[in-house]
Amino acid sequence: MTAQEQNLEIQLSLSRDAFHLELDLRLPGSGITVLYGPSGSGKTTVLRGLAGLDRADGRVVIGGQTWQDTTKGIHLPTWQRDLGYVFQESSLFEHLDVRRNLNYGVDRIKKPGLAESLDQAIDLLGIRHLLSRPVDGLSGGERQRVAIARALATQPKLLLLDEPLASLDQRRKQEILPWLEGLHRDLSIPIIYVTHSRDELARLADYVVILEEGHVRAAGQATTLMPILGFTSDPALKIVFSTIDGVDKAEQLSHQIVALGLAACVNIIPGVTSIYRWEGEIQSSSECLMVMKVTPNSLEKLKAWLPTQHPYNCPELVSVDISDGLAPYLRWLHDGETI
Amino acid sequence: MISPDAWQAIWLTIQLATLTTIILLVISTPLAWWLSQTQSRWRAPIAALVTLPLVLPPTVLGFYVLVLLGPHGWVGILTQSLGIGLLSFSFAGLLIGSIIFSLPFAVQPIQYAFESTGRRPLEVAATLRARPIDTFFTVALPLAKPGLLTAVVLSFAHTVGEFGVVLMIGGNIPGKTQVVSTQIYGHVEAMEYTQAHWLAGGMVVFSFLILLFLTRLAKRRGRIAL
Repeated sequence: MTAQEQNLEIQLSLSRDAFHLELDLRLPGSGITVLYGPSGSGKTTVLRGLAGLDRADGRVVIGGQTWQDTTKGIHLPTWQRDLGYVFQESSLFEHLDVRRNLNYGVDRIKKPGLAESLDQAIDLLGIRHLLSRPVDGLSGGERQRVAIARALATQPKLLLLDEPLASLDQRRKQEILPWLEGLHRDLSIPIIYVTHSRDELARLADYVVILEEGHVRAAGQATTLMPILGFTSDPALKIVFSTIDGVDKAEQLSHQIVALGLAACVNIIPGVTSIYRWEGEIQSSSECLMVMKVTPNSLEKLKAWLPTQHPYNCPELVSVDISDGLAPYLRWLHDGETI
Repeated sequence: MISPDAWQAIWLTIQLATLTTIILLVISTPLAWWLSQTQSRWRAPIAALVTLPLVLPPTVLGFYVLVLLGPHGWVGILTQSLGIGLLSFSFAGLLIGSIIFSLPFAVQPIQYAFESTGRRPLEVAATLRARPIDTFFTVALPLAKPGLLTAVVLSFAHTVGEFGVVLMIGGNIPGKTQVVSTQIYGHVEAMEYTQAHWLAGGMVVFSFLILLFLTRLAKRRGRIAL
């Protein structure tokens, strides 16, 4: 499979009363992409559009297969899209037992090795002991595990999980999370995981898409985006960053900055050459970026203090006003455009 | 005691109710499905039309069916030109009237069952690669089973209990269109109270048993689909 085919190309637009969804994403063809955002931001709408459950305009190409392309008049119905979908609340067929629920999809698909993949899914989710049980005797956590296994067993090209833990209590959540982390390790199927829980984001994401009011606010590798997500868009604060050669040095500096009260919070993002070439060539693997949240007052002090500490290793200090939110800032980091 | 005439009426009643129920099930299931799924602007008028027999006096319904089936009605003209003859005052005419009269009793429980199933199981089936027709038979229909069962029992019982439509369309011809309810009427008119008692009492027991069965069913299923 070429790199092109491994990508997920998602371009969707939809308007419903006052809500407008407009996004254009290219997602990695493996690992878990977490679609993160407050409720009402359009996360579920994106999943439903992708699955063809709701009609959205645009282009969806998954693993080299065009699921829809409005300009060409292509729109596959849900049952022709090679996907797995796990809904927020339990969605097992109540008239079938666990085994027949699991077989429902497998029986309808002609692919080699489905029996093995079903077997694997049963073990992966730890539900072998439930197979002959009727559905209405299962706990919420068990139901979701069966639902995930049922979707997985069909070996889809894309697995969509819509807040699969939202309807469960804390204990059940903790019961399922390890299984989800297991999916991550053992499978090559790309997963899009919708959540508004920071905990799930932190534990599962390889790639993050932040959605707000139907628009992508930021998208990027979890390792790059997560440290920045620690910042809130408080208009009274500025984000300041500087490249530092040496992670140890950066850590030492960050401790000093916090101790001196020059910044409220410092995050270190390793492996970045320059703030202008965010994911560009890395000249030295020890180079990293320090991102700090400061008040306008302490900004001057920080500007004076930082270069005196390391005149050669702190080439520049850039501040960005985040009163408009993080979006332009993150896009700048991501694409290397100037604001 | 029960006369041969009475047995004949009982047998005819059972035949009529059974046929009505079977045909109603075949008609009502797709109709109820359409009503539960469609967003067409025809939904409201069709739903009202289906419910109409519930509120109209049976004599009104019987009268119009009689006119339709009669020598000057559309159906009458059609059946005559096809060489079948007139359906009024025949078992077939009675059957048509019964089907129309009991239509809401079959459609509504099935429609309610489809609606209470909701969209989600159908969506799940689609994400598991089931075609719409496959989804209908393997998910929608099995999940609507309590509604279907209720529709069967109600259509059967309602047909057994009808009187007005039967009298209007079928007359009261023994062995042809005379059913239990019309025979009771005949007995009372002729002051034959003993025979009337046997049949009327039988109807009371039958209706009671039907309702008992329905209640049991609802209790076991955990929900009432009436």
